[in-house]
Amino acid sequence: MASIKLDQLVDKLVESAPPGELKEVGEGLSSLVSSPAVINESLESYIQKNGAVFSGKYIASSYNKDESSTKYIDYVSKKKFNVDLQSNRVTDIESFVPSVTYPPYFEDVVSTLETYGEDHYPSGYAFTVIPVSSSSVRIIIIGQRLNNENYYTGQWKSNYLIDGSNVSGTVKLDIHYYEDGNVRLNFDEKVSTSLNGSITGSEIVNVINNAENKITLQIVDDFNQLNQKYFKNLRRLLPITRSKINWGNAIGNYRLGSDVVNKQ
Amino acid sequence: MASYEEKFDASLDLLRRLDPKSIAKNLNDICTVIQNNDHDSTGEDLVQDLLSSIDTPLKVSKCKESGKDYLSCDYNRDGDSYRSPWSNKYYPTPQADDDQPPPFPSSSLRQLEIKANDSFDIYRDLYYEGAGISSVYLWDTAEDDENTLQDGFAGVVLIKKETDDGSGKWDSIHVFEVIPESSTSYLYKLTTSVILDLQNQKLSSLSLSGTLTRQLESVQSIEVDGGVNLETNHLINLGTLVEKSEYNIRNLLQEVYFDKLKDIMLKDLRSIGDIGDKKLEDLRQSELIKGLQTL
Repeated sequence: MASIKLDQLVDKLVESAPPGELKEVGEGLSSLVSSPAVINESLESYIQKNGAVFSGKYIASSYNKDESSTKYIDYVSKKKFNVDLQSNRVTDIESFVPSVTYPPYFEDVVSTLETYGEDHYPSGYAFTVIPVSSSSVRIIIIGQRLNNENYYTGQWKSNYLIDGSNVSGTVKLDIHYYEDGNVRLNFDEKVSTSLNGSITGSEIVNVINNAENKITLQIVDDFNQLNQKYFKNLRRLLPITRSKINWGNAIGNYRLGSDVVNKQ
Repeated sequence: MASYEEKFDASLDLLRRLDPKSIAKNLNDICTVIQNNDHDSTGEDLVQDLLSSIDTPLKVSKCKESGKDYLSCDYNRDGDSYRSPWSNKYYPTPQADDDQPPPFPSSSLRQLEIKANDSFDIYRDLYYEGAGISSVYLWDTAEDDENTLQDGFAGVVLIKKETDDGSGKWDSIHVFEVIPESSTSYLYKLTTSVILDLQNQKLSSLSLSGTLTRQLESVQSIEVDGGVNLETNHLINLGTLVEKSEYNIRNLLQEVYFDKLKDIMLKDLRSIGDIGDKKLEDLRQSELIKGLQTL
């Protein structure tokens, strides 16, 4: 038993946590694992790998991790911050001067994304733009709703690399519904498209909007497919006779008619 | 250090949050974490209690005597062996242990178990389009095995079905208790859980998976006359209750998996804009037209 490493087990468990319930998962684990450091390390690597929102608008992820400290960098406000999992807030905010050159459309893309978020993300919305070079940025958008009173949490997360006029990235959707149960929706799709016009902030956001509308419609279609093709007849609502079963000694009569039942 | 109850509750809370698709793996990992921490008998008890209170997808075993498949869970388990409802034998054959022989239902309960397996096999045929596997297990709860049908008993109805391409997986677990209220009336208490997993990887990465649990009770008065004996009465009442409960939970699954989750996406997470079915339909139309134009 001792050969199985505790940190690997905890990592595996944390990996499948719903994005909006990291704190609760951490608390549950702390009743079972006597080493808080092991849990914190797992949570930290989950945040870096998947990204997470703090104080409602700051995003922490491996893409904006400061290499020389425990902090994360917000390139939009030019600040560095730590994250506190207990309160879900940023702490120790300090000014920061990035050494990377920002592309000329940076300010424009930031202000257009703000409007875009208002229009398309009905609940909490956070985004960050990370300059990669003078002609390339990474955009991370997270829309989430933590409605634990009604037993659900959900997150929409997009991650795009804009390189010249190429746009590539992923859209992930993760919803957890847990009233008298535990139901999870997962969706993870690659996006690859390109800018049609000139490389401006509004053109970038326009292309993102189109891609995300298309994906939203596709998910609605996928829902219908799974419902109609796979759920509907997995377990019928009523038997082919359209009436409930006549239990008791006569139930054997269905056997006699079973050829009829199965052939229809 | 946390108490037994705190650890048990924390484990249940974790298992209702972590991805239900890996429920069996997560349960196993949590048990290993517990055993790593508590080497004493408390850890062992906790693991046993967790294994018997968490529903995981049902395993299929083969009954050598009848040649038929049957379903296995904690309720027909003895060590690493599982009892077949068809032959009443454990597979693999458990090691002889005179102090703790493997449990079997009393003979009158076994007679009911045989009939219940037969009836639910027909039920499965009618509702699951001739596919899937069902198994029913009963156990005595009364002190005197001779009067088990009068004094009450307990059991579980299991049904499992997978589509041929693996896109749809359904596991029903109905655990019930029959409690006498008077000499002519019985309380039937039922807990129904369905584990439902839907994904067609060829079409999309959209995956809907999880489990929902609901309880249902019913008090039935029983008149033993006209050739309908107590055994048949229990069978009719249990069959009717399980059928009703599965009907309810199927409607609930439909509601949660397809309406609720879609609503959360469109109304809470990302909306297409001026949300509303009309707008959605218009957009879909224009996408369709665009698609046709590029042909």
